[in-house]
Amino acid sequence: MARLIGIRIAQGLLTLLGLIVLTFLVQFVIPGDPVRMLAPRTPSAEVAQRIRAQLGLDRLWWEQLGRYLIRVAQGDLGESYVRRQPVARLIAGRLPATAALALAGVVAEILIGFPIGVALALSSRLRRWLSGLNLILLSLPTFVIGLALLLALGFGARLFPTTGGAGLRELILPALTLGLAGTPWYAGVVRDRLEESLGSAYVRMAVAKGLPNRWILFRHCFPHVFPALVTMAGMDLSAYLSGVVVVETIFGWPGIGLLAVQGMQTLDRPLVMGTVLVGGAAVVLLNGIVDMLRMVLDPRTREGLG
Amino acid sequence: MNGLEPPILRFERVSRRYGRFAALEEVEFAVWKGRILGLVGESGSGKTTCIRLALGLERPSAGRLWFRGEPYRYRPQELKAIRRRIGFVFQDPYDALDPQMTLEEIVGEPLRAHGCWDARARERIRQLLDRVGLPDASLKSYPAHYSGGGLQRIAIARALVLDPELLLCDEPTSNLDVSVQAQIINLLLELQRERGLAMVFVTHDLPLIRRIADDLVVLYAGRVMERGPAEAVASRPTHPYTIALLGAGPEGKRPNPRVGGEAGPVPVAGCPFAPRCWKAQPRCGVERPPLLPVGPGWEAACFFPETQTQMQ
Amino acid sequence: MRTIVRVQDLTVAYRHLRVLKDISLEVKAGEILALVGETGSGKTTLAMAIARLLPPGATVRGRIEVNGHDLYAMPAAAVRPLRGRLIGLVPQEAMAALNPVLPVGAQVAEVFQTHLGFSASEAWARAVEALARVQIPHPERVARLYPHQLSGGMRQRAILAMALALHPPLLIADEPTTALDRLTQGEILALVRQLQAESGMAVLWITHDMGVVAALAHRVAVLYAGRLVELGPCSKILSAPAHPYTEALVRTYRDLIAGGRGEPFYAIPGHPPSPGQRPSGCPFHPRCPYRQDRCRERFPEPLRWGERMVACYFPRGDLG
Repeated sequence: MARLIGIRIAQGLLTLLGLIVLTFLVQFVIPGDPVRMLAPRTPSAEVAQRIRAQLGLDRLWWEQLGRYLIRVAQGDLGESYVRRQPVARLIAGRLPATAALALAGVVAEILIGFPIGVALALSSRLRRWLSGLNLILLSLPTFVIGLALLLALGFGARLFPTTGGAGLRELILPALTLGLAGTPWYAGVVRDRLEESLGSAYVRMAVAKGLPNRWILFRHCFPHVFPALVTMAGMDLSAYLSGVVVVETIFGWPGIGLLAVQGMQTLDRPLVMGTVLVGGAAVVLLNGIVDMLRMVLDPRTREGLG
Repeated sequence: MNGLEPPILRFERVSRRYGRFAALEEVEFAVWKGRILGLVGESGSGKTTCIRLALGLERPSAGRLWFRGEPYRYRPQELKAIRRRIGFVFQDPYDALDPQMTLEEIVGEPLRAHGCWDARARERIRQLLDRVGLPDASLKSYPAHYSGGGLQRIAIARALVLDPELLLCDEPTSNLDVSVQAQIINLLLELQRERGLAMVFVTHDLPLIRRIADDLVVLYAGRVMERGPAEAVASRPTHPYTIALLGAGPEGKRPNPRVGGEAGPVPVAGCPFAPRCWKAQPRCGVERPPLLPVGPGWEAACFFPETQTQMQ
Repeated sequence: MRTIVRVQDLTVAYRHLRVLKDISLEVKAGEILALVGETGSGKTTLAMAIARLLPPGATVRGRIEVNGHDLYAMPAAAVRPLRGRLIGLVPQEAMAALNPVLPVGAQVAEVFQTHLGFSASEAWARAVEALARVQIPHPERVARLYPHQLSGGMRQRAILAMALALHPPLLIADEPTTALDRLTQGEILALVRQLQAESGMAVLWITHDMGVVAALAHRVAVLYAGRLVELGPCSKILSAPAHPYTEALVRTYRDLIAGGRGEPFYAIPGHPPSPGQRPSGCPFHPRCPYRQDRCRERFPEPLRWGERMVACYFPRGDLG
């Protein structure tokens, strides 16, 4: 077990290293000069040179990369060019908001998607209506769902604030947007796994034992669904943690996604690097957690630990 | 069996390990042209590993395989040349045939894979299908049209299309209806005789193999327990495991020695059958019995072989 | 002896596909009836019909009584608690019949929890007893294991423990030993014989293996292409089969054991028909060496004498 965790940690660190190098290189390929974004109007060659030296941009790219890696290893994500603040502090300020939205979004996905998936698998009467709803949700881009919710529940029914902010009431609509956008996938996975389970020999055996239907569903079928659900939720959570740009923009939610976009627009390299790195770390960490959870949920995969 | 011609297939002290688990350990046997070797054992005995090794799908961890006196080499071209001379028929015909392919494609597949498709190929396929008892089968029909027995006939046709020297059969009838099993066995035997094939027949059915094999190898937990001429081994088995296999089974009418418990974890030391054996002595749990001669060309890996047993 | 199962004129169809036709048979307390049939004979359908577990879309005519309950005259909800309590069922895919994510003990214990309302700990204790009853060594340890940690024979025993947990008067087993090794198969059959003798339950054992029949059954029912073609005491069926199909099956089995080396095996020509392509009249006639014209036209009226029944115009042997 300890060995397995060690391997996973090493794999994760390697992934992050690759991520840093790749993002770093991409930024050199993107046209545009950060100095021009920082200096007022067009700087003179001398001024530009000074700024460049100040930011360390006059060094060779691999030198810059090396210095960046060394600093990251020491826990320092550098300073934003534009905002003149430590990137770590900027991100840390946004992290709770993003984490709250990501978690609420995944919870909403499960709360909506799971019952729909169960209903799809169990009831042929509901199936036609629900699969229609699924198809509609699937075809709508996230921003349309978000705007529709905003118009209907925010401006229309005035149930929720429309002005942005990071409170609990402000959280509901963006989370619901994420939830509805993700519903078809969750419903699909739940339906597939449940149907597979319902058609299995162990369910036939359970029926032959005279167990009540509800018991069979909860004790025998749902455990078959959970590993897939956990996998999906983990992937979504990690994706959302690196920022949900569209939803954050629509609802004015002060998360990492907004920060990353701003960084990108202003060619603020340390900020872009920082947001990418944090997002990547979230993915790596959650993937590890999901794998552990799956082992707990499915005794067959535990064998590999022995 | 004559000293001049090498066996078609020979396992020389072949072991196959997966990590610490030994699927096969120092297994030795050989099969000659025109002869049938019965490979007998229960699930987990290593029968299927033997087949995979013979097809070159796996490499031995130790020991060597020989085909017609040439050692197996595992470069793709050399493997392909060996596989060309081996036909195989597996247990589950429903699983072994691609439902999307026509009969012509299924039976002709080995021809194409080995670049032997020519103008006469279709005629060869037709003749083979006639020979395996499907004279009315359309070359354009699909497996779904055939019952289990029909599918196994198709699989046999495919196995023979390249005129192999060796035919590997892995429990070819155990998934078939009883009233069809005998037909398929008879067909395999006729074809084996007609073509002078060397044949390895894997099964857990001793009463069946007793009637068709020339030589028997009884495997348990990857080790050879007993081997020798089929007639002798099946009528006067000496290893307790062979005796149990012959006496057990649903018939239960023949002497059924009390076999303690199930095949549990195989002990690391000593005889692997010892925990289930009614004759086991302290020595059996410590020391591994080597294959010791019990008759002409006949050996058993047991310190206390039964010499009085006479099966009906 | 009390009749546990009474099947009368049972016909089962899926849409236009008639799987079983006019089946009548009884199983009494204390006896093992082997139901012999091949692919497409309808033997699994018969077992499922007796447990009222046919898939939706099946139409059932006739009458099935289990322990005095007319199963098809009761609402479905009333049948559910009878399963497990009245009928222990071991389904065909016995190897896959255990839930991989639940410990074996929990899968036995839930029978006590749901049927008898036992607490989890009480039920667990009873589950361990049930596992001990099917001669699983160290039952308290095995109860905590997951199915993949058990050997095939152990899993088979665990399934038997579940089916027999509430001591039902009827056990239905659908070819549960076909996937097992010969040694293990023999052990399971011996166990079933012993449990049956101790409890006096009725057993309906479905198989295609005459070896199993010989080892286990008191009486035999032979099913071919949805028809009951022969019924009688096991010893009589094996020594003097009356239907040509039974005769061929017995001969195949005897030939396998007693035949000489190098001789061809006795084989029945052709193959069993699928339910969609059953021949007219007596469905065995295309494969039957004794067929006459009339066999093609109508299914023969069953002949009954003593404890035996055969549905054939030209039965074998002396019917005295």
